Amino acid sequence: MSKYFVEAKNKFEEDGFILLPNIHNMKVEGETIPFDEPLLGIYEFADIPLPKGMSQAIKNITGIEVAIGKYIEITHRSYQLLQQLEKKHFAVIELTESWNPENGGNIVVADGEGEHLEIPFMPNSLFISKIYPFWYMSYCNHYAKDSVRKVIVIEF
Amino acid sequence: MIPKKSEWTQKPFPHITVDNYIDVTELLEHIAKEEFIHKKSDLFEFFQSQSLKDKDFVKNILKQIKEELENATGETFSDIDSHATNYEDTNFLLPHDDQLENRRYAYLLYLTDVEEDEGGALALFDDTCSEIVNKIQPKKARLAIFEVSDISYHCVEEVMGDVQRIALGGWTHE
Repeated sequence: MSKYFVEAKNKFEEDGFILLPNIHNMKVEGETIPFDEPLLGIYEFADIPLPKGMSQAIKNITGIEVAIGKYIEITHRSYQLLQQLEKKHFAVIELTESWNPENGGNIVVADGEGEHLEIPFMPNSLFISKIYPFWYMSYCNHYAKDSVRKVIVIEF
Repeated sequence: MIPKKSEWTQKPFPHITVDNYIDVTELLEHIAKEEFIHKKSDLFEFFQSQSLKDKDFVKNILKQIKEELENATGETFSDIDSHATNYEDTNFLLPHDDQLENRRYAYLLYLTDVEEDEGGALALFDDTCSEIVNKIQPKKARLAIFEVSDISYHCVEEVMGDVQRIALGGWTHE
């Protein structure tokens, strides 16, 4: 088994990031819904069909076709406690241009036995893991103020 | 003196606060000399000391809490453990129920004041952990106790600002 980190900067521009306004519009249209279960996590999300460029990028790397992702908005007081993946692969598509990791709200993959990897913030990037069976989102603290981090997470 | 359990607030689960429980000036001086370790996970981030239960400066306080809590509840406890915690800016403890290792009652003896707008409150949730029913704000020499059960959902709200939320805490055990 191996782990890999892929910076997919600019790979999404043609198909992926052209469609970003649609994702932003989903929030404006009220299509995100709150996940508000304090024992599990708190954030806004929407299950969305992946833009073609994004699903193609994932297929090019893994050979697996993926159609649906979970769009998540991370704001002050958001978190997701340690959660076991239902599938082998875990991907994060970063949609945010600027985010200070000291705000929290960082995506972390873990083996459940102490080893973990905090996915570094990188605008316009794709992260794929196939070795960590767990993930969580660290608590987003008050330094986030009114800023919003937007990501798509995918299990496949 | 810890009141009888029948006099405690019963909702969302039995809990009580006692202000000016003891003079904590000397205790805080001792605890300030302890080494605090940074603890961080998906559930929490704060600083914690090693176990203090065998430290001379804590023994009498633990004995007092244990005996008064036995009188208040009519139960007997095999043990009481203790450590100090320090929550600084952005530190937090997310909702959980505390059930572990035969814990019966959790106690916190606050050693510093924290204003409401600085966060740090102990928030008590309803039995589905969906709504906060009560909040206990840290106040110097305030003792807070709650019964540990399968509905004792609580959290420590994020500390915001240049403040230290220092407390001596632990659990009595069956």
